[in-house]
Amino acid sequence: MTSPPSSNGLTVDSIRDCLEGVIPAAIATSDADGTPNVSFLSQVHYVDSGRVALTYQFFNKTRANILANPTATVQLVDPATAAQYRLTLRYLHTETSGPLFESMKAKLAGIASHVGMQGVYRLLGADLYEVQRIEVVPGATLPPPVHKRGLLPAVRRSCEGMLACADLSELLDRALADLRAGFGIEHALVLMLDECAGRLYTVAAMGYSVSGVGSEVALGDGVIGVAARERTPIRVTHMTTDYAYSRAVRASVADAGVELAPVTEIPFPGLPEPHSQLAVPILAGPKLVGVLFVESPQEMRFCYDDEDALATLAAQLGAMILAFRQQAAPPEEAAEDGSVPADGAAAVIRHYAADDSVFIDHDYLIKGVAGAIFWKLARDYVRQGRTDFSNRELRLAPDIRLPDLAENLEARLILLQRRLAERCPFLGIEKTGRGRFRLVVQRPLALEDMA
Amino acid sequence: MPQAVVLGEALGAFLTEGVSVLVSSSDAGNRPALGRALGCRLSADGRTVTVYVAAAPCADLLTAIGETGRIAVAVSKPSTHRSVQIKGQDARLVHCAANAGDVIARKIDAFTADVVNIGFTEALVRTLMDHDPADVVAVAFTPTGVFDQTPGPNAGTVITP
Repeated sequence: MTSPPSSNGLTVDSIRDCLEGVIPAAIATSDADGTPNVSFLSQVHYVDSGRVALTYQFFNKTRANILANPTATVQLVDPATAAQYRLTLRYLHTETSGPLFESMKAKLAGIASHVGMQGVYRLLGADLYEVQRIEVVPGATLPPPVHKRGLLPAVRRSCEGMLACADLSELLDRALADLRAGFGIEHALVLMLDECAGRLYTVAAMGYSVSGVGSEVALGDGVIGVAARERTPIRVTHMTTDYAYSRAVRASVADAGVELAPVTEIPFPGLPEPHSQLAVPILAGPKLVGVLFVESPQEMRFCYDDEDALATLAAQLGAMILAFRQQAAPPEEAAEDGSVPADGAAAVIRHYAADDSVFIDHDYLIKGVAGAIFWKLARDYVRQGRTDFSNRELRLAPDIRLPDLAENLEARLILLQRRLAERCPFLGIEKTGRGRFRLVVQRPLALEDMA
Repeated sequence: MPQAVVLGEALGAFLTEGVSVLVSSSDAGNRPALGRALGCRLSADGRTVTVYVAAAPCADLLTAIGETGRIAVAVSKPSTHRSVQIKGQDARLVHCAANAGDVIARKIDAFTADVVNIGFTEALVRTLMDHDPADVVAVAFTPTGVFDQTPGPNAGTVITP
């Protein structure tokens, strides 16, 4: 999109701080006969440097007017400096679904709840406008705030740091550590997509009392699920129950249509009352692979610039994930036997074939692909005494069934490794080289297969 | 030509509370113009609404009013969202009353108190309403329609003033 022909050089990029919905904007329209109409606006949404979108919530006079006479004038206020801008807009069209609609809907939900209008503000459509002119309204202003953190240097450092990572596990940990060090973000998750199940599972977490590794979110649920489904960042600037996850977990179990015991759910680790949330899709080439999610107890914590910064990090993450996947598998080498003799009472490993859920001494460990992987490792260990394995043999194993397994194997192994580390002190997975790992067993295992 | 409507005392009182006031018009080419008012008042007989605006930031608006006389004024109380819109067709520049400065100062004080109460800083609100008293002009019009504009399903309905 080209920049609007404002003689002062201003584009929508220059005035994004005015578009957070902090101070209501104003819109003037006029009907075919010239009768003017003026109204307050709860949200003017940034689309790109030359376009904005307004919320269509009711069929009101403003809407009737723009359909008859597509020119509108909008006045915006910068919430930090009180600078005012007047925009000449031309109505283009309305979108009632898709990425723009969903990102506006989420943001409006936050604004509505903040101003006590939950249930009143509801989005019927996203009205798209071309910005034809941006004019600075003469008037007094406050000095602009000094930003303590520079987002651009933090993005650069983080991208450079990620390039140095040797594998996916290191990459995920590095990305989260950089969010804290460079961006001051205290609560973050990385979730990966399980394409077959239409769900995302947590592989890395920072800033929660329980890590939640292995917890799942269905596509379309909450800001994370919507960001994944629409492949667009979803940002909420105030506390809202519209996108809460307590609901999402129950709904997703119901949607699955299978009888799963509640015990096989790992609780979602999110903050009980997040006042700001941002979920950014991670794409590897054209494919969605996961979601980077951050949240904060502080309202208005993440703005447009934070969204840009995290989208850039997510792009780097996606490129690195793709690069790891495309690395040629290393030749098989016999690893030296580093196994430790297991002693003590046998631990009971129970496996349910229906959903590949695994329980160790009656405690739930994991299910799905990660469960199937663990069951194969445990069986090979008990029957053949094997402890050393390669990613390649897991990809070829007939009893680990999933078409997208080749792509997701690394993330599944990380999930399994982290769940074991959290839940099971006598079992572990250690990397022994690229594409190779060892099952570390410190107690004898007794297997029970529940068909 | 729509009939003039007489506004009641309650509505007149609302116009001078801690409200935000927006003014719009459309020019001879039917292009909408928009500005923020500093204050608003209703005449004792309820037949004339006067809005005060700073001329420099509202140049296009004043030009449009001069060309067509059309006007729409939205009045909203931020803390309660109660909003009304008043329309007229005979808007014109009038002489600023001697006490215009007092009306504006009282309105800005009340507006500041209302929005500080919902979390904005006084410095921000005072900066937003800052103006040169010598630049203030008065626009008067006869109301011909009053509409409920409080967000919700009733927005847009005609109010019997």
